[in-house]
Amino acid sequence: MKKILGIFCILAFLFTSCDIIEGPRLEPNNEEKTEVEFPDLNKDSVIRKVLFEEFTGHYCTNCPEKGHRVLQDLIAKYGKLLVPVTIHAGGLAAPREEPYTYDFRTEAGDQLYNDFGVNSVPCAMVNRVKKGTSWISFYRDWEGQINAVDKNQIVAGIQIINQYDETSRTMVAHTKTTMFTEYENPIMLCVVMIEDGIVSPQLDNNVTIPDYVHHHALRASLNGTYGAYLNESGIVEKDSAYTKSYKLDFNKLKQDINYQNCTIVTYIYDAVTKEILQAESRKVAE
Amino acid sequence: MRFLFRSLKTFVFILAFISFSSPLKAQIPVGKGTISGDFMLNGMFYIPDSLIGADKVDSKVRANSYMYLQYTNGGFTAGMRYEFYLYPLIDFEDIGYKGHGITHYFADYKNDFIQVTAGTFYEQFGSGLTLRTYEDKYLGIDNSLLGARVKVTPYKGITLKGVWGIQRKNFDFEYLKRKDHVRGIDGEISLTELIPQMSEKGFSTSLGASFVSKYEKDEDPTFILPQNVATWGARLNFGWKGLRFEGEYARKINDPNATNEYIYKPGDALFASLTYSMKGFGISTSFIRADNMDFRSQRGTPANLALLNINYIPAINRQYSYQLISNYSYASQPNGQVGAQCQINYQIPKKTKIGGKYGTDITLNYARYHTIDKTMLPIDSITGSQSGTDGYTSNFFKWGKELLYQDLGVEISRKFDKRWKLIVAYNWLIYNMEVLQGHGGMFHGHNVAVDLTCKINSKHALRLEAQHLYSKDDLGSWVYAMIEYSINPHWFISIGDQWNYGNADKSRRIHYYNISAAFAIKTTRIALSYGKTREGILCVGGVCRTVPASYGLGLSVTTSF
Repeated sequence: MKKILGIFCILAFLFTSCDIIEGPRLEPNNEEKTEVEFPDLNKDSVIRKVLFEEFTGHYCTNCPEKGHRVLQDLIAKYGKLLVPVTIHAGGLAAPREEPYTYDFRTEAGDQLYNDFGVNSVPCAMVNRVKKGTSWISFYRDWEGQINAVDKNQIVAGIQIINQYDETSRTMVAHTKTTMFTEYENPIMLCVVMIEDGIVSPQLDNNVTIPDYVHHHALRASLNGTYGAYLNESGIVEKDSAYTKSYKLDFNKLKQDINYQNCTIVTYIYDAVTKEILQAESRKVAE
Repeated sequence: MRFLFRSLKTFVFILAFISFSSPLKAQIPVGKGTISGDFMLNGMFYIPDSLIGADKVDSKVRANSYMYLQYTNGGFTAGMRYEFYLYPLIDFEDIGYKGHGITHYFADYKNDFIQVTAGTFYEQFGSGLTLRTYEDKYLGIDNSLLGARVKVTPYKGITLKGVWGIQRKNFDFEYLKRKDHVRGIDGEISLTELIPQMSEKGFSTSLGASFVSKYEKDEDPTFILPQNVATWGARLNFGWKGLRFEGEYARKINDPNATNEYIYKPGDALFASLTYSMKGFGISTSFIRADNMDFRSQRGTPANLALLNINYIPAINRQYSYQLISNYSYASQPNGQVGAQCQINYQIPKKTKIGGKYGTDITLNYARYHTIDKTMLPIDSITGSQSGTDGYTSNFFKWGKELLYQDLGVEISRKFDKRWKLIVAYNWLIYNMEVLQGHGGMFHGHNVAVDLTCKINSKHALRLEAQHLYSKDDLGSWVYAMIEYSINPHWFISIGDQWNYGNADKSRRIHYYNISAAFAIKTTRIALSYGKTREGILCVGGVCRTVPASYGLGLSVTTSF
């Protein structure tokens, strides 16, 4: 009897320790029906914006000086041209002993950190354009990379309408992408949410700043780390427009997230080269 | 220079202190048990050198240090290791091995029937294709499991093992927040022990099988990921007199992760080795094939970090200690490699005209690795990439077209008389830098090494090592020379220089000199070194890490008791 029981236990262990995923392999996305009317888009008012993805960590002593403050200076200089997203990821973003117990990290942020080969912070990706063989660059190169983006190549315009429901603590982000030109490669759309004004400790030149104010912190992705194709194939035509809406449930996020400080960031990118073609942002509550 | 003299004064003071202190006795009796242990401090004072790329380091004086203590009383053993790597050597900071704490602690009891361990432990199933947890202080690897282990020997010759635990992740001790763990079972039957007549006839045979599974919560926003990923393996060891065969096959179910770009293809690996030896002659051949077998506790761990590895895919090529070619050491590719090697050892007999009084040893070896054969599958229409698909198909019996590594080597070792010994070696290397180091193209090099030892008398010995690496690729040709003078049993002094005389950029024909002195007394060794280290890689058994360029003064203290 003991032998039978032993064999049963071993077999139970073997069979419960494998998950073979035959399909589907993609998480069902949070796509919703678009039930809003977008105003007409004035093509002449659209500029090519630059997505600035900064990688940082609260235990990174150099991040404020060689990351956050440099980015703030760039925002002051370039204004709405820059769409910043600050990604807390890697070992220096991990929660640790007091007072660095807060966890800023997100699944999407961790995936970007790994997939784009980040191994030290502070660093950034500017429009996901490679610098040499690397996706990432350091603070001295950032302004040059922003200037290097061809501002005359305006492929599309993006409009955003956010609907937040205070009762259910859910929101739907509606997006409309209008193509101004043809584009040969498939285009993907990604929608994420960032938060400003988060007060949490930060190491700054070896000094702990307990009430440090963090900005643009990536909080959630509404349609996956890499988003979804604009249409079924991703290949789009000139003058075509695509609406997509995604739901976000704040009850499933960190409870301290203040929706009034949150902004939806939407960007489209070349699915082959990964280059960001256009980016737009709009506050959740306006 | 003034700094160097100051440091030498400190060194002489430490030596005097060690010399006049009573040396530690091996194993300290405590009650009916004993305490043993070891200590290491490896420190460096960094000096910036823009020519070699040694950057300015904020904290100039850094060190890796640890102390290990073990108490043994009959079948009971308990141990702990404290590591202080809060300001580690820059190599270790680069790979995230930074912090401090008690990193290894365990209690273990064993008798003839059972062995139980609680705490952190190291374990290996078979050749490691399914599970190998180990530590390597040079590489900054420690993937021990924190949990429990049981080993049972229900019958002589039959061993069963079970492990369950969470892997160590550098100095991240927040195990309660971890969403991953590893469990595994292994069984081995030694036919030689079960059937004594087999060993009497010169046979040794064992069969084994293992099953290892990891759990990691799926929180990925894009993919539905397997939370339980399993590997299994079967192995056979067979020996008869001088002949020995070892073989193991392992398979892994779908394991999308950062190293394979989140594809769902199952992985597998085969390792086989056949050796034959007799007096004065030995031949060893090995084969390895690994396909999508990178297996880690956390699927997001990047490929360039040797972190949270559950299994181990060995490198079968010959490992060298020669300075110049060590920078082109092969790094095992668990996600795609097929390789074979053959090594022949022959001793020209003693007291013959050609063999000389002591005989002459000749070693001939050849190793070759390729990528595996791959036929890529169509990209996923939703993600626009291979992620989410099976990635590719691969013909098991077909080698990939891309060469990763080739080494043809010959080494001749001869002792002329009681004083003189000479080793001469030649290697022809082809090394795919793009795949193995992530930059550059294909490296071709010819290396000649000479190692001459003169034992002046019973206490004094002089050793000369000279190497020349000829290449038109990467950094071009190098030459290396080193003289070591030893006064047994206490002193070792050496001076060496690596010169990149063949660099295409004349301004980068740099000398990497190094002066070192070491003093040893019983189980204690203190060494001081000063010089430059070139940027490169350090590999042990096919597992590698990058080494940044550095310049400075190093101090190393090790002792055991």
